[in-house]
Amino acid sequence: MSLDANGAREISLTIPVAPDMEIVATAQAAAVGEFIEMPRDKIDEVKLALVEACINAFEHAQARDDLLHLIFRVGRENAREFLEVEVLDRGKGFDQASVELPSPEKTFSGRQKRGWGLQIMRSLMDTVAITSGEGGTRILMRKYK
Amino acid sequence: MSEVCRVAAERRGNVAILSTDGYINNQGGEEIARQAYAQLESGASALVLNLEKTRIVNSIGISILIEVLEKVMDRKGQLAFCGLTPTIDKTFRIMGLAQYAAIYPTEAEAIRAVATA
Amino acid sequence: MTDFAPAAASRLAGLWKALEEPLRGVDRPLPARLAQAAVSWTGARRGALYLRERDLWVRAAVAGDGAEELELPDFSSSRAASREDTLWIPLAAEGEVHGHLGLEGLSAEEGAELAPFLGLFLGSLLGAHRFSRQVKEADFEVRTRLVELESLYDLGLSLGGQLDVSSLADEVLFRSISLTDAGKGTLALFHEDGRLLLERSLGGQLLPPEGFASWQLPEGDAVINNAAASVPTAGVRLASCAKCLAVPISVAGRRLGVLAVADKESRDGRVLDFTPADARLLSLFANQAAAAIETARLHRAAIEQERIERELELAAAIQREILPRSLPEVTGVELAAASLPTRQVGGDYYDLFPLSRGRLGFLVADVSGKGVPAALLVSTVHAAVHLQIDEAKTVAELVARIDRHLRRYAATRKFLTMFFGLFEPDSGLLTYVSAGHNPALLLRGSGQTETLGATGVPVGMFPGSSWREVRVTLSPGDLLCVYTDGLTEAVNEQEEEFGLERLSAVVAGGREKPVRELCDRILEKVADFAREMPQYDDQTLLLLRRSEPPVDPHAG
Repeated sequence: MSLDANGAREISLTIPVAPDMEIVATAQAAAVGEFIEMPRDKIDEVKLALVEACINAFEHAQARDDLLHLIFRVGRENAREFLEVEVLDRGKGFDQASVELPSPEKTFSGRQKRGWGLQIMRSLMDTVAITSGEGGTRILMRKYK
Repeated sequence: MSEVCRVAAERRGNVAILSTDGYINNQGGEEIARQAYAQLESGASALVLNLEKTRIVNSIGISILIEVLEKVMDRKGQLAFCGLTPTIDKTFRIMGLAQYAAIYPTEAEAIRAVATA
Repeated sequence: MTDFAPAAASRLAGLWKALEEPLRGVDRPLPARLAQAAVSWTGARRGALYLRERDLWVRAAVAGDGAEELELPDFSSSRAASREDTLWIPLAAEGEVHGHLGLEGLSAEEGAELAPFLGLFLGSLLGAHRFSRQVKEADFEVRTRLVELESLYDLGLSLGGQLDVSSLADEVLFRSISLTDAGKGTLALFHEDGRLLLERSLGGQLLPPEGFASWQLPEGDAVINNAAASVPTAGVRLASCAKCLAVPISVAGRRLGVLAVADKESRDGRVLDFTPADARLLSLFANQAAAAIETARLHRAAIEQERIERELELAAAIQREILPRSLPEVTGVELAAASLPTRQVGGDYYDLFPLSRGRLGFLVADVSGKGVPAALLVSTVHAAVHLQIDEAKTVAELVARIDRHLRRYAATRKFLTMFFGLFEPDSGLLTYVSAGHNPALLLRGSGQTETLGATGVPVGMFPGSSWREVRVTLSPGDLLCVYTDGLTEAVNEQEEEFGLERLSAVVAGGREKPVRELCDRILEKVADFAREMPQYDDQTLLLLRRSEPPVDPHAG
């Protein structure tokens, strides 16, 4: 059996905003990653980035319906397979420009211990696109196999 | 559904070895910190954190580990990590832990390094 | 007062002298000092002073040799009377007789002269003395009450904050024991049906041998048993509890439990009896405890209820997200599907997959369990199907792959029933696997209904399972109905189930109708049947009809 050419290979997941629910998301990411036979280390990187995306949403979003929506996609671009994760929350959003980027110096001087999520996502995934506004936040991350 | 990590402690002289098992989130980080401080209070001057059985951490857990590192530095002690997966190693480096704490592949190397320092 | 002669004045001075020293002194109790002074001033041979102790006259003091022989006669009046040579003077003031003074060895004239004077004077002194003693006792009583009330108040405060029944029980028991100076205590709480909820003991267990079932306290009363041996008292059989006090713990007339304390001790270690004051105090405390316990119980029940409601809501929300938003358009097939969550549960799932060469895959699944874990498992099933559908060569293989996927990735060990079908509209071939699912209905054009039963066990149940594939061919107009048991097991007030027969009848009755309409009709019939009865399982339905070939406008 194979999917119709128009068939989207998409897997949805909705998780409650609750402690450790990000692990449910990483399990799903692992399933999809293993399916396309992504190397284990790369899957780990997707998982860590996804954890950050989820806890970012948990902390900042104050989601109105207490749910986080994720969509996992596999696709191919220029003969390279990728795994993409979209993380959506319908919380209050944040202004990316005003997020003070953390740095080791700042962390160690005690002034900023948080704010690492975005940094980690950008370092571990190949592409990260974030849109945030009044209606919520959408993080779209992709990693090539 | 909780995968929060367990922490086992072993003491060899003035070196305390804490081994984690599972997801290091804020709760896991706090447990590590609690045991690390207990070891420091009881005279340990070097800490080895073995993360061999941990495959996932989050930035909040890591920031707590940074606090532990700061405490160790305050007391002029030593802290070394070992057993990190490539991803966790990468993440630690991103957050600057490698600048102040050494990272070793195995527990034996880590213990050797802090014991002689 | 006109009788007051200089002689009397000098007598008064003499009396004053006689009394001054004893009155000032505190080395002996006042009655003894008064008796001595009276004897020496009057010159009597010996004397005795009787005071009232509750309802009895008790000899409180004697003066002179052999004065013990002087006995108070029985009076019916309070006038001084001479018996033999003993003069008995009532010592009265303000209309109340406080004592009797007996003096022996006085002449009748001396007696007559001295009696009114002594009676009034000593009577007043004794009256004042008695009054001051009463005040002191009352004051002490009040102070004790005050301390008790304050401690009750403090206890009330400390109990009020407690919302955990278990630690509340410990607190109540501990406080009860110290409040009554007891040495041991037992507290028992019961469920509404009389079963024991919890029992706490300190210092020893005050239990009847038959267990708590035989604890019966008379309605609303405390029971004191100060006997040295354990004695059944008014229905309370507290074995190994001699010298004990038991009170019921009730709130708003409902008996919550019993509180018993035993072995009351004084500060210097003597065993004491429990007093009515103890019973009163303990009862008051038990009332407070009862209120606190009831509050704790209600609080816990409310929190639990809230938590359950919240989880069910979340589960339903998660569930809603995963169901298909629209049905695919597939040539040669008419489709309709619906899923009604009931009471916020989330466990049913259906999905449709257009495949290559015009084929259609579809499934209906029912996850065991409720709440968020069940809803998340549905997500995992969804993932499994979407990932594995491409890899599997047959339907049976797909179900096996889904099974393995769940074992690897699902957080919880739950299982699910599933009907997976692969339909080829061109040939009408339907290949299906039913993993423990309820029988699907196949309504033929002839009007006959066939049931398509299970071809294997539920998914996730036993490792290494395999499933049989079955093939049937649908002719144009044939209708397939796949559903979950929330539909056939919907109950009405008489506890009857909707059942497979009724479902078949409704399906058969709608043979000519468009599938969309039939789908709505089926759900309506179920709703009508169940009326207002709340249902406890999702109702999911999927209808598939092989279309009639289009009429060729150029034919004929």
